[in-house]
This record gives sequence, C-alpha cells and structure tokens, in this order.
Amino acid sequence: VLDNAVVRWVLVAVAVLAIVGLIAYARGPHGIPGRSPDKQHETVPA
Amino acid sequence: MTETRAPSLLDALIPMVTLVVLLCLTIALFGTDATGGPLQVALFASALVAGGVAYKNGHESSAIRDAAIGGVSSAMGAIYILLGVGALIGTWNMAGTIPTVVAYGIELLQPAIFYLCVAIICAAVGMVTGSSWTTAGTLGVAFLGMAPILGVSTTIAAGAVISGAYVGDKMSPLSETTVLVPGLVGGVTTNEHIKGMLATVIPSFGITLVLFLILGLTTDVKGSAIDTDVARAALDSVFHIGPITLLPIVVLVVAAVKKVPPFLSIFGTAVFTGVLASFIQPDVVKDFVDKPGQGAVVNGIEGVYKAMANGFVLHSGNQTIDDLFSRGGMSGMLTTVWLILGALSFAAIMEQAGFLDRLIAPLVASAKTEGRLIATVAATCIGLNIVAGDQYVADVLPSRVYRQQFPRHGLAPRMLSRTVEDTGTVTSALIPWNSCGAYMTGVLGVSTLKYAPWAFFNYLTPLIAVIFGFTGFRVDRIEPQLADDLDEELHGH
Repeated sequence: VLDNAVVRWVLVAVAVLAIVGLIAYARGPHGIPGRSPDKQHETVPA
Repeated sequence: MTETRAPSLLDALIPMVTLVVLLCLTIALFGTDATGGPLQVALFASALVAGGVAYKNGHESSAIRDAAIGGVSSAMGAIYILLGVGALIGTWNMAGTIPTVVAYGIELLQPAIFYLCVAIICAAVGMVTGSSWTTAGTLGVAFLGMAPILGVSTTIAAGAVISGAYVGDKMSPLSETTVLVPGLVGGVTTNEHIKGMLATVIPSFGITLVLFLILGLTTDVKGSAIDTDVARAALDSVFHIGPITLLPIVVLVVAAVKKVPPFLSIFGTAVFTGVLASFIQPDVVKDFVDKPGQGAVVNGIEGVYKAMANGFVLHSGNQTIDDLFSRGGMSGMLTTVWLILGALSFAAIMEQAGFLDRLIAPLVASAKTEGRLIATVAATCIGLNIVAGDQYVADVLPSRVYRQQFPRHGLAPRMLSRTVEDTGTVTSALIPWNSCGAYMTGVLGVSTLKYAPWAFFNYLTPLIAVIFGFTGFRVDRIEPQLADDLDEELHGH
C-alpha cells in the first residue's frame, strides 16, 4: 500500500498541511505574542 | 540554575508537527524500507527539535540529555529481551526446533484454515504465557516459516500472529498490562477488568476470525513456492526431525512457569539449544561453521557463537528451505534497537519538557459527553503510541490523566481500564517506531507497515470501543452519588 504513488502524495500533502497549520496557529491569537494580526490591530492608536 | 517556563501549546506543537512532517516525508520517500534507517533519522531529528524548544523554555541542556538517557534506560529490559530472542531464533533454527514445528505444522494445517488457526493458536498461547512478545517470537516465527511452504501470504500470516498474540496478551491475568492498567485506574480488580474487556474483545476477535477464514478460503495456493511433501522431504534430509528437537520449547515454558526473569530464560534457552544442536544436528552445525577438518567440539562451540551473534545460515541446496531457516541473531535486532532509541529519546524529552501534558490538557477539557470522553481516551492512547513510541507510556499516562473524569461522567472505572487496553495496548503493534511494532518486525521479519493492514484485531478493537462509547452499548455506568464517592476516593489517593 505504501509503495503506491497516491499514498505517497497523500503523505506529502499531510506534511505540507501540518506545516501550514502550525504557521497559521503561530500567527493566530493564541500563537507567538505580538505576532498576531488581531493583536497588532488592537494596538493601533485610534 | 535557570527558571523553566511552562510550555505554551505552540511550544508543544512544534516538535509534534516536526515529527509528523518528517515521518510523512520519510515514508513517502522510502516506503516500507523506512524502518531500515530513515525513520530513525526522522526520530532523532524530531528529538533535536524537541530539545531545542525545551532549551528555549529554560531547561538546561544537561537536564534534556538526562531525560533522553532516562527514556532509553526505561526500555533496556525490552532491548535485552529483543537481543535474547534474536539469539534464540538463531539457535532454534540450528537445532531444528523451528523446522520441526514447521514440519509438523504443514502436515496438520490446511492453507484454507491456516490464518484462522494461527490467530486462534496464538491467542491461546498468548493467554497461557501472558505475553504477545513471547508468542510472536517463538510460535509466530514458526508459523511464518510454514506460510511460504503452504503457499499462503507471509504478510497476512504475520497479521494473524499479531492479532492472536494481542488477544492473549490482553485477556491474560499473567500479562503485565492487564494487571498494571486496572491498578493505575483504581476501583477495579484485574478480574473485573478482564470481564469488562470481553464486551469489545469478543466482537472484534470474532470479526477478525471471520475475516481470516474468508481470506483463507479465497487464498490462491497455486503460488506455493514448494510442494508440502517436497518440503517435508527436504526438511527430513537436512534436519533430524523429532520430539527431541522440541525440548528447548519445554525448557522455555518451564522457565516461564517458574517465573525466571524473561531475559535469563530466553538467553539461557538459546545457549542450551545451541549446545543441544551439536548433539542432535551435528551435520547441520558442521555445514554452518564450514571449516573442514575442524573437530566436532570446536565446531559446536563456534556454531553456538555464530548462530546467537549473527544468526543461523542453512546450506541445504534447496533455496526455499535455506531462505526460511536462515534467520535470527542478535545483530539482526540492532536496527530495531536503533529505532527504539530514537523513539524513546524523543518521547522522554517531550515528557520532561511538559509538552505531552500540554498537548493532552485541551483534550481532557473538551471531553463533555460519554462518547467523546471514550473517543478522547482512545485518541490520547493512539497518539501516545505514535508520539511516545512505547506501549507503557500509552497505557500509564491516560490511566492517570482520565481517572477522575470517568466517575464525574457517571462511567464505571472499568470503562477507562477497558478503553486504555482496547486502544493503547493493541495499537502499539501498528506503529513501526513503537517498541512493540519494531519488535514484531524484528522477530517476524515483516515490516510493520506491511502487516498492519492484516492485523485486524489491533484496529477493530479501538474502532469498536469508540462505536460502543458513542452508542452507549455495553457501557457500564455508576450511580451519580457513587460517582461522587469514587471521585473523592480517587482524590484521596
């Protein structure tokens, strides 16, 4: 099964999705402090 | 001494995602050959990333190093057993023990019912010994030897061996996990725990047996590499086949009954079998050592060393027979040991830095209903088998973390012990870098990724456990007031 080309592409897709997901989480409200677009918006003076 | 910071969820996710990414890419690149080295590289690289994040959080490099060493130390018992079984397989082949079991087996077992019989016999032996490792490392190896002669799939046979071995391991009061898990959960005895597990084991093993019967009945035995009669004749021409060659099995069983420590009994039996080989298979030993003119005594001693260290190699002239019984050796287990070292180094750093607890915390908080709680325990156990690479971590951690949650939801403690065993114990053999999956590959010679689809019992059981959890079927509940009492009792421990 694992020598199947489709399965290999699915595994590569999972790897890419995991990286994209991690970056999205890191940039989100619970991610790295000060890097969240939401929080940056909050600190912009009115 | 520097102050350590509690990890954020992002901290815990970085090494986890690194592991997932590297494992996916490794398997995509190398397929089933990944366990030969690439997976080890991925695990060590993930351990390095985990160590880096832990260092960022204030953990000293010496503490991280000690954690990795501690994690590996916890597996030393398993590593000794693994090396012992390697030596045992080598001498059992040289002494004709495994060839004798194969010779008797191919006469008694028909291809159509082979997988079914393998699963049932391994379950029975597993229940008697209480160990899936012993069952697979001894009887399992012999069954794998019979498969090519009978013209059935070695890969499916490995799935049947593992399915049966894990039923026995799970349901035996002699099994370490069967005793350990209810003890950790509290409020449930070993006997109650075993009775509780029948609810999921009976349907999952029943379906497993039906599937193996169907596979056996539909197997095309035309692909047999060698005729059964020819194989028996070839075995008789090479080995002395008779009850005396089964003496090492008796020695091993007596040692198990007398509760001799596993490594001592396995390694001791390997040495005994090697010495026995010089007396009952002198020609085989002579051919194996291949030093014409050397005395029988020196040949015997050299044969024992070689079979235990590098495995037995048969030179019968029959390629199929030679391939079947040229096996074993402690050196053949070193790739598996390497895999265990990588997995446990990563797991130990994850635990030491608090990453595992941080990953589990949101899961515990989100389990609001009975079904979700059972599914969450299952996900935690399976996840720990993947991340921590060890069955004991996958059994111990959820047993402790969720023990207060079950009474709060009005679920009997035996539901937690059952779920942990249904998911943590059995899925360990499906993960290539888990000590159980790596062991099975080491002794059976079939890659975990190849046999996993056929180890029906090992993935049907968690599936049935989760389905029963959501439907409420065979879910044991306790009275709410009893739940409160039990909760207090557990807090008191």
